[in-house]
Amino acid sequence: MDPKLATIYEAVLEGDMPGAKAGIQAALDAGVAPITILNDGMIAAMAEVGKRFEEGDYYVPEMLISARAMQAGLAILKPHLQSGGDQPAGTVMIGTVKGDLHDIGKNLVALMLEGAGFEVRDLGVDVSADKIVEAIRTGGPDILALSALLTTTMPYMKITIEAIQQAGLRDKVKIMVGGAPVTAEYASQIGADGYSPDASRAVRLAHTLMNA
Amino acid sequence: MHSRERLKTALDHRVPDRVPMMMSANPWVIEKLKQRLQVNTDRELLQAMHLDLFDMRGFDYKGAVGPRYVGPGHMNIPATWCGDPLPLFGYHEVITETPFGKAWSMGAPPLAALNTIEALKHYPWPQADWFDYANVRRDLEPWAADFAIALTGPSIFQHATLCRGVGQLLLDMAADPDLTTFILDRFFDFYFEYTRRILEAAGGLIDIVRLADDIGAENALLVSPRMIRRYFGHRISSFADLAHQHNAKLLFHTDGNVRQIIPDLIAWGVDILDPVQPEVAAMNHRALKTEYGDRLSFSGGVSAQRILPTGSVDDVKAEARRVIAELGAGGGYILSPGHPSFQSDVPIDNILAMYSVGLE
Repeated sequence: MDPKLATIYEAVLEGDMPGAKAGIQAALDAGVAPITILNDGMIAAMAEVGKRFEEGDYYVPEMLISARAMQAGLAILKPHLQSGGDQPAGTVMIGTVKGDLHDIGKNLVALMLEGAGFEVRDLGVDVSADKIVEAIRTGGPDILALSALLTTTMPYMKITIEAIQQAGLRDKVKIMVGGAPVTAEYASQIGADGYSPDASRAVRLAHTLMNA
Repeated sequence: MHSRERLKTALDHRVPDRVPMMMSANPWVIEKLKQRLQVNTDRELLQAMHLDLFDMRGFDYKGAVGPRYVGPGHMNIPATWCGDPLPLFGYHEVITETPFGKAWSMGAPPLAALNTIEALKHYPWPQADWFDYANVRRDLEPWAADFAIALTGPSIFQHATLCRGVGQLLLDMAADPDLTTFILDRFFDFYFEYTRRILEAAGGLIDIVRLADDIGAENALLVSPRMIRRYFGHRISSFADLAHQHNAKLLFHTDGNVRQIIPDLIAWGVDILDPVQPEVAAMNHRALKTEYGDRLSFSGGVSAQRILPTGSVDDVKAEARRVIAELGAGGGYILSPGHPSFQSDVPIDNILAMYSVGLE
């Protein structure tokens, strides 16, 4: 790997935000293609972060500082990327369902999806079915990602999917779900397209849904 | 057997006359239980359900018996304050609507915007001196006559996550250890001294000190064992020593998969692990009992994510029997759900069925 890209890769992997920013600036100044910086430096590093998380080597704090380094780097890189006309891996709308204010899981999934090159629109917490239907209608995302931490709010996932169905939008969007009490079985029961047990596997699922 | 003797027997890993039982629930569930059992007071509810533990923070963790607040008036601590510590740190919960009724959820974290130690120094951190502990023994005695006593409230991590924002504090732990330590010290310094004075004032009436700190996520620890040892090990140890000095046991509550850290928890002096979530494969009850049952007691374990909210009365009874058999063999177990507090989606019949098994 180009030593400039290796520096960026290492900085993102270690959650070194100043190092990532400086590395990206240096690579841009040296004329490395922005898309190469993004794919081979940053997205590759976040993929390794996800792998380490799944293997039990990284935990949530390590993932968070890597995602922070990635985001800070993206802020520098984005103006250059837009001029190149590069397409995101897909667009995702994400939120916790009505009644549920617990957003750490949702935020992690959003960060990891961004890290993997998805364009993410965060609808926030406590999002009603109506709001989600409206957001799909106006935003046209490829994927909707729903989160619930509580057994008491989990049924809103079903209610939300039914509302999307009734609005005639179900075939316009892939739906993935997650959160502590949610299982693969529940996901298929309520008619979601996929379930992921953690943020890293959510990225893999999103890629799978994009290619489905 | 008196509830205290029953509890002590079980926690000494001997077999009591029946399994000791404890319960927490949100206020809407408590109200439904009282209506069903046609009782009015918390004491009557404890008695009607044959529960063994009176929690000083109340069924709903909002406070029942505690020292009197005599601190600064500008803190907006209500006159009715009696043991819910979170408002002392500027934290307030909000109520949300769910398909099953009301639920409490997290409010805005008051420390979210304070990103330097200098800024945090100026926050009005609560002081143990803000309380008068003279009433504690007198207020506890009527409860201790009939029940074992639990002191719930102190926290070394979770309350910091609520006040700082869980995502932010987890990021701080990796990005800024000095800032993290400063925040954790403020919670520890207050809770340790506050708990010490309550235990001293109670003069031996408190049987269990309960630390509630979720360090497990559904699949794995929330933070690495290295961070848990660095940030929490000595703090948990201090609380265990404190409890033991007052002849009480230390209960450590954490949701999720914490299997990897159990030997450390035991070494730090934790006596009881709660709530051993049965939905988490790594927290297999038989395996935990075999591996640690001689040194560690358990509470919880009755499936609160699946069976209690959605199962039939018979399902719940079978589940409670399973847990008592697996975790309660030879003592060392307190019957309670695998999530510490009943939420509005658990049918009243299922709650009553679970505790009826404890009386068999």
